Amino acid sequence: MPPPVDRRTVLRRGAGLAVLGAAAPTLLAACGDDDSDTGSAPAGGGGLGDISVRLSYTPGVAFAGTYIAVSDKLYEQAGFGEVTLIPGGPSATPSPTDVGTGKAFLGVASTPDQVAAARLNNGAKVKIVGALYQKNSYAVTSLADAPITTPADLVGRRIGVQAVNTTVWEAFLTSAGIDPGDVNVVPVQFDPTPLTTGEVDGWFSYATNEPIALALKGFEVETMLLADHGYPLVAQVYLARDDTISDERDRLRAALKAEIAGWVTQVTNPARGVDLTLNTYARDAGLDPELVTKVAEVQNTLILTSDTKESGLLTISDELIETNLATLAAGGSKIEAADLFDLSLLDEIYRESPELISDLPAVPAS
Amino acid sequence: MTLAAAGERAAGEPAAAAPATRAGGGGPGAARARLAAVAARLVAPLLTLVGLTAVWALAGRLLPAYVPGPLATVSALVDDWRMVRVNASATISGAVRGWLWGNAAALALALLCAFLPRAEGPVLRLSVVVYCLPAMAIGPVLQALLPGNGASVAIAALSVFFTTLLGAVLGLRSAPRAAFDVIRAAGGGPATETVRVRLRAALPSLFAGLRVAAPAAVLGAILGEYLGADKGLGNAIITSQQQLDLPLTWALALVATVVAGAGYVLTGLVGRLLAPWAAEAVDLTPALDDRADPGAAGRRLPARAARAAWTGLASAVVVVALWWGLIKVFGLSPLVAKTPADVWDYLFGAEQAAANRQELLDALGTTLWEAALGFAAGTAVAMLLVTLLALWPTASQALLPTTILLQAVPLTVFTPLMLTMFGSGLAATIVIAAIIVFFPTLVTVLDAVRVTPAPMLDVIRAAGGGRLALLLRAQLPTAVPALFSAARISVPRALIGALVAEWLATGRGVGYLMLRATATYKYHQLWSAVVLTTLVMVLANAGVTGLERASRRRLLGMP
Repeated sequence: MPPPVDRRTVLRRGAGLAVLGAAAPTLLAACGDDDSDTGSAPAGGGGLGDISVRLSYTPGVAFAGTYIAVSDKLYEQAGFGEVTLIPGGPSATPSPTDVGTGKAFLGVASTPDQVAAARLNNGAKVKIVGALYQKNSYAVTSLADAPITTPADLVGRRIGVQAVNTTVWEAFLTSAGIDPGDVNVVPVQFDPTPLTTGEVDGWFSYATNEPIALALKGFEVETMLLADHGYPLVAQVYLARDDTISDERDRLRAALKAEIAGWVTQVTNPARGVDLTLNTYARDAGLDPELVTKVAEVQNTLILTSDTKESGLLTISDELIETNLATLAAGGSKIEAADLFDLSLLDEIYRESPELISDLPAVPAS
Repeated sequence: MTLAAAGERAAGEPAAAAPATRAGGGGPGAARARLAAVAARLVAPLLTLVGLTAVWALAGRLLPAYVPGPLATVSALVDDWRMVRVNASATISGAVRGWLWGNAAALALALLCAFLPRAEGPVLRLSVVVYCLPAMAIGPVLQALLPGNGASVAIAALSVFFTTLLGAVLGLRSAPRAAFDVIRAAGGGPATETVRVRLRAALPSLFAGLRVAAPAAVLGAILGEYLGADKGLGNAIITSQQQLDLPLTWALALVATVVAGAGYVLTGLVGRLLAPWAAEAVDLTPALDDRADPGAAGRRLPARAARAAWTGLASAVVVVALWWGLIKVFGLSPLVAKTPADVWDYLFGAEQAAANRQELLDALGTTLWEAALGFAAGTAVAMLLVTLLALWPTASQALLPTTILLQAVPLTVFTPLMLTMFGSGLAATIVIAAIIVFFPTLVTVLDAVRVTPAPMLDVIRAAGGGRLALLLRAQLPTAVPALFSAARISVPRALIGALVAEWLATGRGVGYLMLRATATYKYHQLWSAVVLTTLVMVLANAGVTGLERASRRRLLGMP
């Protein structure tokens, strides 16, 4: 049988393969630029080394202060080298895990119950070192013609709840005195279409996300904030490892101070963070500018309150700590204040730099 | 000549056309027939595309809250083209890297098997375990352990590894014995053998594997992006869904499909360029363990069972050793990386071990039931279509290329959309599992039906049997082993489909349990669930393999 391919053809094809082979490493190198080392070991920069910060969700205006801290070189001025921001996502590893394993030096978690669960269920040695949102923005959204305005309205209704939020949801029901069996939970993701089509009567989410998107699409919605109904948890909490707090205080303080300074700029001038989000950090996320602007506005009311105006951003009053612990305990996470919070770094920062408080603008009307 | 006639002719005369080509052309009639055949091949997918678009447009009219019309989708694509392009290239970059890593590992192992035939059995058995790992569930673990978008790349690599390894091993094995004798006689050693004979013989099968790997890598990269990434199609889809931008969501899912499909077609073209002697379709499903256990056919059942138990046990020991070794060697954080001892303690040692086991088994039961229903539905629809296509071969010829191409659709991308449409009940899980099962079953069984031995058909024709008789008495019985071959690929896939559906939304079963375990830091439970799920899939795979072998022996008289 004659060979189907002659020698020359094979050689030619072989040469083609070689070209492909030669191109492959270049391709790898070109694609590999985001593989920078995320370790917390001091390397470059002005003495404090590179730093990685784990964010709680996909890039967005919720991290505006961080974006400002990076692009205004606040981290660099504090002595840090390269700053790596690690994004989250709907199925992502929770922040406390990334901080606990040392993948991230500093982290932002959505709520304190995440940190408590990481500590209680998995022995992760992490603590909250500050809280950005003074109250959580968890909310149940309903259509205005069949509104849900109090926890009692939930009984017998169908509520869409995401898997990752079920712990918060059940803790809320328990602390609101509602039997979880009396509410029909429908598992959903992050696409609120089921609310618009009537498959569910209520939608669990952040007040800063789906409700605003729905309103912008022309739906008349009613929003019930959990924080107004017996669930006063703080949110967007900063966390670090126990040994970081004790052994790397200077680095941690410098990082927190850069974050605070970034957020001071953001509460003063929300357009700055909107611009950085839309044009730099989440440039390709396809975010709706109108939505981002609105979220930035609502977000400032959660960050700058009469308490934080007086004692500084990220601080948590003793009273708020107590109500948070009581709420967590009602949801099944019994934990001591000293095991969950360490706000001593904030005290040191504000003693050293009181201008971070005096520079704050007036408290926005919520 | 009508298109249909061209199709039939092309279908009936592949053997006649090939020598004509080799001989240098044939007459003008042959040339015209070839041209018509090519035209038919181009027109059929085009017609299918038009048909699909029409169905899409109709769905958009009937269900405007769920399905945007084709026009709205295309206009979203045009409006947001820059954003779509940036995210698509991020996904492609992750997929390409995963593809390179996964394939490099697979090829290295395949070469090892070629030089060291004794390694083949263990290597293949271990890679079945890798194939059965629920990637979604280990994603968060990978993400915690790998820097940057390493998890996305790793999932893409895991997604391509098995099919490429299988293709390469089967290919390297397919080299004709006689060729080795020639090389030995000419004084060549094993190296010459490998280069001259094995690699060349391996190309068709290897490319069949690589072709499947291309869309798998894209899908793996997108799954990885759901875990957290700066950009990528996965990210963009989440955001556009959250913003209720239906047309953009569909546009992004469409782009994901085109990227995956392009990978499939391009790999196919490169394969044809490098190995033009390759047959159109290469069956990737022949018995995996023929070689691993050559004496199997001769032994009686108890002996076979004992041997299977022994190899199974040996594989389990190796897997556990590898698992432990990786954690120790890389010093993985005990917060995330649980050891076999941790899992054992969770399931059997701890105080609440019985409750832990019960919770896992209940969830697994739900998943298995849903996957089984999906598997049954997918297989039933595929067999129905096989029957119709066997009765009307012309339609088969026209539809098959498109059907094969549809296999490249990254279904998981559409999972959230399907959940929106079918709700989050049992139906959604079944539909998703069924679609995943449908394609390999259809393609594999249809191939088997088409190669039914001619004498068998002649006997039935001589007895006055029509098409239906041919189908019932000859074609379908011959296809039964193919059905099991397909099941070997599709049973794990049905389970993974059910897991993904549960993970992404239905809130039941072991997929959801894994998600919840991650969210509540119960990593012991997560690892135990992964171990249990993988074990069930490997056992299911082994069971189907046994059935396939039995059916080949009984129906075809093959070993």
